[in-house]
Amino acid sequence: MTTSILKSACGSFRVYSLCAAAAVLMCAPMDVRAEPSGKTKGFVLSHFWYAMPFEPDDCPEGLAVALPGGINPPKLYDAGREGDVPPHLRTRQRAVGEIDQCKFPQAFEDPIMRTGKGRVAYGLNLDGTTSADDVAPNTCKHENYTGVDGTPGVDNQLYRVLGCINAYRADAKFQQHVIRDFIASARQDGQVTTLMEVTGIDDAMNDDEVEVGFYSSTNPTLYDAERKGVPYASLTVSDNPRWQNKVRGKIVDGVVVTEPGDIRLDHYQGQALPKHVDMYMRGARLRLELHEDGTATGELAGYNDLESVYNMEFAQAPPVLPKSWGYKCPAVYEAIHRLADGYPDPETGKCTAISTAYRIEAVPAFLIHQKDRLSGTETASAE
Amino acid sequence: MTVATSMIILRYALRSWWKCSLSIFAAMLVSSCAVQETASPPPSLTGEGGPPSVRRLTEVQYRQSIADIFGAEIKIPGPFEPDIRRNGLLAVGTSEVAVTRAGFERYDALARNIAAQVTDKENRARLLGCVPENSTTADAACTTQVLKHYGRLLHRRPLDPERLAAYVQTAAAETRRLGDYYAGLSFALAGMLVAPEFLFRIDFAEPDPANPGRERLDGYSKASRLSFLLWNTTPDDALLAAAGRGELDSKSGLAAHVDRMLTSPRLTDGVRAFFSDMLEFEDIETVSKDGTIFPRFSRSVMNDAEEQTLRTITDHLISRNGDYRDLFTTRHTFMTRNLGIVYRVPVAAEEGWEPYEFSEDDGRAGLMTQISFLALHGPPGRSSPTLRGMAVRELLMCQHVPSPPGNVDFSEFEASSEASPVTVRDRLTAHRENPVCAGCHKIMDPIGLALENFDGLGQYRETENGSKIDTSGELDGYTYQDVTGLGEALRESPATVSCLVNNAYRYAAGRSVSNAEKQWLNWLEDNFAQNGYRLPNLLREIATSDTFFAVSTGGGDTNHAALSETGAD
Repeated sequence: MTTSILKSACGSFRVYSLCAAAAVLMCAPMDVRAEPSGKTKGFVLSHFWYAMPFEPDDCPEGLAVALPGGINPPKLYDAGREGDVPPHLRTRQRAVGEIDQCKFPQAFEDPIMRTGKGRVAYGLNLDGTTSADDVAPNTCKHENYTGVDGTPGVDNQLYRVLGCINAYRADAKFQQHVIRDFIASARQDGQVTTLMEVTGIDDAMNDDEVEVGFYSSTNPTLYDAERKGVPYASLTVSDNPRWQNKVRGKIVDGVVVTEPGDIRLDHYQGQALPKHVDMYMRGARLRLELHEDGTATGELAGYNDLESVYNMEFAQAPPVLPKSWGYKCPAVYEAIHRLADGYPDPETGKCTAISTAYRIEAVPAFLIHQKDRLSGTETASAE
Repeated sequence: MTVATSMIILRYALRSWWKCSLSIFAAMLVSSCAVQETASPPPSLTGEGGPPSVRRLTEVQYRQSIADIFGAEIKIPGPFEPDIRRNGLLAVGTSEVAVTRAGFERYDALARNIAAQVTDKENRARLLGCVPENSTTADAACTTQVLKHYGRLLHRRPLDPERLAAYVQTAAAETRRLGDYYAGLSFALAGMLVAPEFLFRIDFAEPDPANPGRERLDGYSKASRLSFLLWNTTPDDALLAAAGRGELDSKSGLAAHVDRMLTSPRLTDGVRAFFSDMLEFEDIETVSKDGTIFPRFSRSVMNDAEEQTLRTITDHLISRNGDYRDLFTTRHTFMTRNLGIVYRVPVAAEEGWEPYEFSEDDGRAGLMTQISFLALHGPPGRSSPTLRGMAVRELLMCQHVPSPPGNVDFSEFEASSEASPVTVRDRLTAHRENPVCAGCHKIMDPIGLALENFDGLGQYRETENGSKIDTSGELDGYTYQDVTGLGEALRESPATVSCLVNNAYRYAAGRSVSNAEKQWLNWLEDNFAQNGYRLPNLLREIATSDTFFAVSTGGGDTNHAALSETGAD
């Protein structure tokens, strides 16, 4: 309900940021339960990026193309969609001959993008179904993947888009993994820091009730000379309530799993896409293995809000980057909307979020909350 | 093994054991004698002490003196000649070092640089106090005013008229040559900065009116001794003025100024300098660790580690006026986020320092469990109980540990052999069972093994190569199970107290203790105990004593044999 109200109130992604604060107040599931008792484990994420297996048959039609029809931009869409471009920008940009494709992808015709049709992907079975014909409530019809570990019904529609873009793939012949490297550099340069905290741990192997917090921090993540995350750093949790998220969970055989919850975090793509934007994932679930040396690895899977994921990955790209990295913004915009599989708009029935899976690598850290509240890792040696 | 071989080994073993045991026994004897003395007023030692000394300024003293005289805005670029450690202290070494040719060139370059800054357009209005009538010609009145003022501060006593006139004349000549008043003045100032009276702390003696035929330090020499002891910098204007009025020659006048200095925030600088010297912190600059084994090691961590220990010391001894012996057991310290990573503790302050208290479960108590000590005394790739044990013996207990004999076969103890022992304790057991090594290792290793819960960088660990670490041991008859017990043993050891008193006096005097001063030191140690082992009280007793200012006269230095066994030359 709140989603639809917000959606109608906030409109398209272009004005989304103006409504972000309201969205937090109305949408974010800020759990106000009392702090659980028990031990706490804090972590800083040393790696946080899409989990992608890069199978040979991911994109049978080939990778997405950057320049269909040559270097000319796609044609402007008809008058109806062009109206989405603010008049003052329309006038100015027309004067120089071009409207920014990535900032205003709706203003252009929708070139068809080659997207993934593979069989295997990372992720979780978010909707509980294993067949494309079986459409779960609050989802849209979509094909399923088989998990890398054989799990049926894995939902990861964003991989069908990103997995067919040259610059996202590790096995591409040109610009391979460049996006991941940008993200990694941004994290290593201290531009973006993400924290996790598991509280209320009574039994580190099996515990029926724990709470997991996801936070952003303005302190840099520390890395050693080998680019490994430095454990046991003290990092202050951002006091921005937008980036404070808590979900319920449990520990099963040393693996933390959480119930679905919405997560909003600071995101920074790197110097090529220079603005901080929010990562907003809905119905997010964590599967985190706790290791004896204090580190943790796992997956965060859920539904990335379409406006959020487009903002994160594409909206800021200057004209040269799509050409170099292997995509066209209007085509990507069309593809993520076409493949979206979660949180349908009650009015239009079109899904507003797309299933996604992130790979997480974390090292122990001391999370410093405001008002000097301290919570820390166990002091067991990590070496 | 032949009988002859056995005899050779036995002979070496006895020799090395004897050397170690003798030195430790001697130090313990001194300590135990000291505490058995009945406290009594300080014996009169007038006419004893050492000869007037000439001590080169340390780098810190040089920098602080310039900052105090001209302001912190004056930059002092570049390195200095290294100081030399003698009998365990750099302070003693300052009496024995000269200035090399290269060193003088360095001082000369620094002097020109500093003088140029003092007279440049940015600083001259603030620092010079007068303006010449013409900036291209000499101005004797202005020059005299400036050089008289700074000459007194730089040379720590008023310039005599002939010397002042010579400096003024030099400035005038250079002004004429260069056509620039400030360039000429700068030249004269640079001359003052390379003069021995600035680079060295020179004692001047004068006839002692209370003891005809004997000499005493003059007032300005006393002012310098006081200032460098308590503040580690040049005397301030008030102290020089008091020296000029003869106030430091009277008991009451001296006591008043000592109390003023002891209650000043600048006492912290003096205490930091003393403990930096005593703990050999000049070596922290060159500590290195294997980055693959200790990825958390960095220069900034070591800098913070040094600062942490000095803050711990000054907070405990000055701010809290605490018992010196509690430094071996205290859990109070200060922390930065940089250090928190190595200690594995949370630090709330994003910048700077915050107080921190280790819990009993942290396994840390006392200075010897801080990174500055643990990382400083060890090789780059691992911990060394032997080096740590030796450091405790030599630095904290003033007991000299002889060097290993030249024929030690270290391959027997290397960890790389197929039958290598699991833990360091296993390897060192081999040392202690070898009669050639046992004599010395038995006095070092049990101390260092108590610190084995800390790796080469000082990070806590409970196992080594999968085996639980055994930290039990014994220190001079005091048995313990862990480092907390070691701290208690050090706290109760007479040697640690004796060592501090001995070091404090040698640091103050800049020389080894003479035999004639032994009785004085025993009294001082007793007094220290009776006053709760408070450092400010100890410094007050030293700074107001006749002994501190006593000057031996004539006849060479026959009483000047080193009493302390610390630090062979």
